[in-house]
Amino acid sequence: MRFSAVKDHLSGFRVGIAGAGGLGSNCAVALARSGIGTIVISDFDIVEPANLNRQYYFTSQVGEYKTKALKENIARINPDITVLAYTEKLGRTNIPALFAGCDVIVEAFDSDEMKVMLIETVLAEMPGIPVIAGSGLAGWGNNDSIKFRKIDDTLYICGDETTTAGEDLPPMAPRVGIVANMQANTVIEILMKKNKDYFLR
Amino acid sequence: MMNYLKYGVLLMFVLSMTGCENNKWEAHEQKLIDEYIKSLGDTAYVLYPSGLYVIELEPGTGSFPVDGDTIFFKYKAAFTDYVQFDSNDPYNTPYKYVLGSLKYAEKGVDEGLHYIKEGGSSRLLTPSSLAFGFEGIWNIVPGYTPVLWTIKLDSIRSGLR
Repeated sequence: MRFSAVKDHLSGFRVGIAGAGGLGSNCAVALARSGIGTIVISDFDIVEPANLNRQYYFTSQVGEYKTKALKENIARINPDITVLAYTEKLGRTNIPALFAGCDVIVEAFDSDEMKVMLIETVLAEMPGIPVIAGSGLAGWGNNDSIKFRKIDDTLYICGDETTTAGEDLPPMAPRVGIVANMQANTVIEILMKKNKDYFLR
Repeated sequence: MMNYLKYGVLLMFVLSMTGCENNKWEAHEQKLIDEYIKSLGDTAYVLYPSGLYVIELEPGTGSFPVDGDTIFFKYKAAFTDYVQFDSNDPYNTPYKYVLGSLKYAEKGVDEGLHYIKEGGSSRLLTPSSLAFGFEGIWNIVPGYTPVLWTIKLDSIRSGLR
C-alpha cells in the first residue's frame, strides 16, 4: 500500500488527544504528518520555557495556550487537517462531549489520577472506543524497557510502566518522543484495520 | 490639481479634528489618574518612566521574578473608582503567566510583576497605553481608561530549570 492510499484512508478518521504536553504535542504532530483527518485536542495549560526540552513548541510560543500553539504548528505541517482545539480542563463531565465522534482516544496526561479518570470515563461513557495510554517515559537510555501492551480491544499501554518523572528523573525529548510516537503508531495500526464509515462522515 | 488641494485641505481638517478628540480623551484619562493619586494622600507610590504607578501593599519574602519565569498570581482589576470588572476568582485558581511573554497579560501588568517579590502584593495603576489602549476592550473597559490592578504574587517557577 502506497503512502497516498494510507493517507487517504486515515483522512476519514477523527482522533482525540487528551493533553497537549510532551506526549500529546508529539503524538498530534505524528498523526498530522500521517494524514489523520480530524484531530481533537484538549488542554488548559500554557507553554512554559521548561516545556521546550520535550514538547512540540517553539520559543516564540512561550506563554501561549498549548492548544492554540499546537493548532498553528499542525497547520504549518499539514493545513488540510482539521484541528479542534479546546482550552478546557478535562473531567468526567466534558470528556464524552469534547471527544464525541472520535474513533480512538490518546491519553496524554502527566498525572496518574487524570490518566485513571480518562480511562474510566471513556470505558463507562464511550464504550468500544479504544484508549491508547502512555505510562513511564521519564529519564534517558534503557531503550529495552519501553514496551507496548494490549490489555484488550479498548486499552493499549505504551511506555516502561515503571518510571515516574521527578527532580532527579526529568522527562526528556527522546523517551517522551518514543512513547508519543508509539501511541501514534498504535492509533494508525487500529485505524488501518478499521473500515471507513462513509455514512457518518 | 485643484482637486488634490481640496482633498488635501479636507484631509488635514479631518486629521486635526481627530487629534483634538484624542487630546480631549487623553486629558480625561490624565484627570482620572491625577485624582486617584491625590486620593492616596500619604500612601507611598513609585512612578516608573513608562507611566506605571506601583503601590506596595505587602513586601513579600522571596525574590523578584525575571523574564521567562512562570508565575502564579491572584489579581483583581478595577477602575479608578474601585469598581471591579475582572479577577481570577471565577477560575478558582491563581493566574499562570510566563513573565515577559506578553501573552494574555497587559503590558503594564507584565512590567508591574517584575517589581513584586514572591509572596508580596502590590496595587498597580496602568494608564491605558499600558493596558487596554484607546480602543478599550469589548464593552467592558472603555478606551483611554486607567486600570487598577491588585496583585498577589503567589509563587515563581524558574524558567531555567
